[in-house]
Amino acid sequence: MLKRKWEFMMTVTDSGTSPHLVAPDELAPSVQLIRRVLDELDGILLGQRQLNRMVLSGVLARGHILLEGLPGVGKTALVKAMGELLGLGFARVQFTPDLMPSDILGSHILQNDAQGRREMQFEPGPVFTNILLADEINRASPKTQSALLEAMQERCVTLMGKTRPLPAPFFVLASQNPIELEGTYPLPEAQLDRFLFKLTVGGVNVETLEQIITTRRRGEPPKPGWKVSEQQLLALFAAMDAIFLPKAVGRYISRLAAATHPASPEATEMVRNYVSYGASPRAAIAMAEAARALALMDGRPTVGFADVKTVAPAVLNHRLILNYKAKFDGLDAFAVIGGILESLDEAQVHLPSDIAIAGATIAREARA
Amino acid sequence: MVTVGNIADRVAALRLNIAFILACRSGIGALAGGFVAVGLWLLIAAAVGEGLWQYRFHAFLLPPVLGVVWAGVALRQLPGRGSLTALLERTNNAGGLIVASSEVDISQWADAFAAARPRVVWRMGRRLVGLVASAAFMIACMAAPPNLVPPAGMNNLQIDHHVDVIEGRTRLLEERKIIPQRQASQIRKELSNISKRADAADPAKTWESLDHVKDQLSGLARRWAQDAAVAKSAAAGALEAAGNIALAQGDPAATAKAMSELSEHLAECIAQSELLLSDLAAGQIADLLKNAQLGKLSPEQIAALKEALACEMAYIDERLIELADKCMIDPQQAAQLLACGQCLGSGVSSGQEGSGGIGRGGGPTPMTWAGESDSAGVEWQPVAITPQELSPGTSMVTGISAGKPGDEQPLVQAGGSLDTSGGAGSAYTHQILPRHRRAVEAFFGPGQ
Repeated sequence: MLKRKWEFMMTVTDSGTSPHLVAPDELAPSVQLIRRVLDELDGILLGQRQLNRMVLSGVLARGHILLEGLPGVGKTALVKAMGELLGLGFARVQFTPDLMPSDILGSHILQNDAQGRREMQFEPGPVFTNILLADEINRASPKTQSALLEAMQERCVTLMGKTRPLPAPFFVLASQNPIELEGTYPLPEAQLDRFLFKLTVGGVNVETLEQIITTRRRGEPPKPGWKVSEQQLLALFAAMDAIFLPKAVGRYISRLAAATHPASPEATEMVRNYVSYGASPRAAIAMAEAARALALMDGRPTVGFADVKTVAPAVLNHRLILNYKAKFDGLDAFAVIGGILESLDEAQVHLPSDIAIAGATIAREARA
Repeated sequence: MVTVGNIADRVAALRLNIAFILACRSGIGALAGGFVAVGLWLLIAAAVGEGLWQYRFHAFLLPPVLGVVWAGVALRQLPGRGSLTALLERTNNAGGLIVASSEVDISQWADAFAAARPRVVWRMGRRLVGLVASAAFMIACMAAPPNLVPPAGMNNLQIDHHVDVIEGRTRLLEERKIIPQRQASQIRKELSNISKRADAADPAKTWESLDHVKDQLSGLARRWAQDAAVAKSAAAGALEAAGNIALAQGDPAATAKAMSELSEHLAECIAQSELLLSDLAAGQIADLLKNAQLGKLSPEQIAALKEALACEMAYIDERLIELADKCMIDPQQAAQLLACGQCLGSGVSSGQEGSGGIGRGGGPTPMTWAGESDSAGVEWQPVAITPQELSPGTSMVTGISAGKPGDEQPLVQAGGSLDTSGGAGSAYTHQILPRHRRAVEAFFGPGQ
């Protein structure tokens, strides 16, 4: 039932109609719903407001999210809470070096049918769910990691020549540990590119820790007292599709993605020095979608430059391949992205340095 | 309420504002550049001199032309409407609504953002300082004199004082009509050329040129002084003859002789100097000369003539003193010329016999040309000294003798027609050097 409605919705939103902005009263229910989800999330995972917001925007953008952080900072709790809040199916797979693809995708088992005949029956793996938590994904072998490629991109699984679609919506929320790298297999670039965001889950401050210790027995997060219904979820996705992306913002996203390539004319000195390969077109699409989600969460019908700037580091940081010089100089992708965002003028107004507009000096020396 | 039209109007207003500021900014910059260019042009014109000096003010057309052209070029920096819309969006933090206004109708969301009017600020201080500085530079360059820089490769030699002195002498000669105006102009032109080409690397050339002009002026002055002396002498003779006419009243023969002498001196005086013409009219002079030749000068005419002659003599004396003061003639010569004719004059007044004068033959006192003036204190006297006595500070080597000082015998001219004191034989006797003496004795024998 959910699958049929989902397909119907996709058909409606993809049909080419003249662009128009959604009315404020049409958007209001979705915004209220999102705010309620965020409040619930903030109540479950304390001290991670910004992370909660980014994860929800990733889910609204129907993207996969890679969470990176030290053990015990709440990655799994966040994903579980998200699944429960959205009322979606949830499965968790603990990735280990001996984990096989069939352990994730499922396998064919020889069984007797009702008539007593033996036949190979497909036993679905944990991937056949709405939210798959791939815990410590970098501990599995590349073979097993690659088993997720088709599922993540095509949202289907092909086994023994037969393709089976995954439930819609389908998200992979993976986590990985940045330390204890011995015996791990770093995700290949092709797999990393399939993640909408790579979010770094940091620690919390003393006040938050105190709150966790004093209000929660054994630190167990409370169960959400409310969850999003199927209709509400569909309305949320429909509202997402109604968010308008202006051409100027679309161009800014394109320039941003292009500027990550060393050969680009708008590449910064840092990009030219430290980046081997820039972001793919998939990154530009991801930025546009994530920015739409942020606009919706902010209650706006259009995507603004600020939305793009907010999501750009999370979208681009795992897509930039830095060279060894960057490692030697202790430079990470966030520094490179920060440099690009700082130098790339969204308005492309190149006025002389002694002319400023609206109190802030926006002009740069005119380029020859 | 913010509408699509409002946003378009605001973008247009913003664009106009930026265009105006860009034009002003570039215009001021170009004006400053133009002022600097004009200043440099004035400096170049002053350095090059006559070739460009006359065109120096043509460059003032440059700043306004540059300003207009640059202002036009600056408008190429004007941002497009799309860029300014994005700028408005960012300034108002409108969440994409302003940039979307050109694609969709945003009227339903008009209250969602405040479309504040952006303010364009131009920090013009540096530009204005540049403009003022360049204008000051141009004004300073306007004060640069022509021929500011000497020709390439030449160092300026300061000869202004000397040129001024010569110029003063030229002016004196011109004013006293000793030289014609045309000649004075030529001399001035020559002086100007010498000033321009005064090269410290080769000062001798400049000094020689100045000396040449100075000598030229002195020569002219000297010649005039000599002519003036002749004229003064003639005037003195004429004055004496006029006195004699007065003394010879009643003696027709003596009067006629005196009249003849007067006419003779008067003719000579007129031939030497035209000064009399300034005191007496040309027709009057002719009448006086004719009547003197005919012996029919009236006492009144003789009185007028005496007065004119006395004036002329006084005038010549004044000019001689002036020339001597300006060092154009030798003061000694000036004193001689001033004394010239005084004997006659005094003779006339005292009735004593004169001592003659130029053109008047020898006087009672014979002229002595013998007895050279002593050169002591004027020039060095060569003295032969030994090398031990030679002191580089006080001595100058004029030659080195082959033998011992004091042993040198003056070369005796043994033959020839003039002042010969030796006998016949070879023309010269040779001094034998000590180191050759033995060989000579061996060949010619001792005592040779």
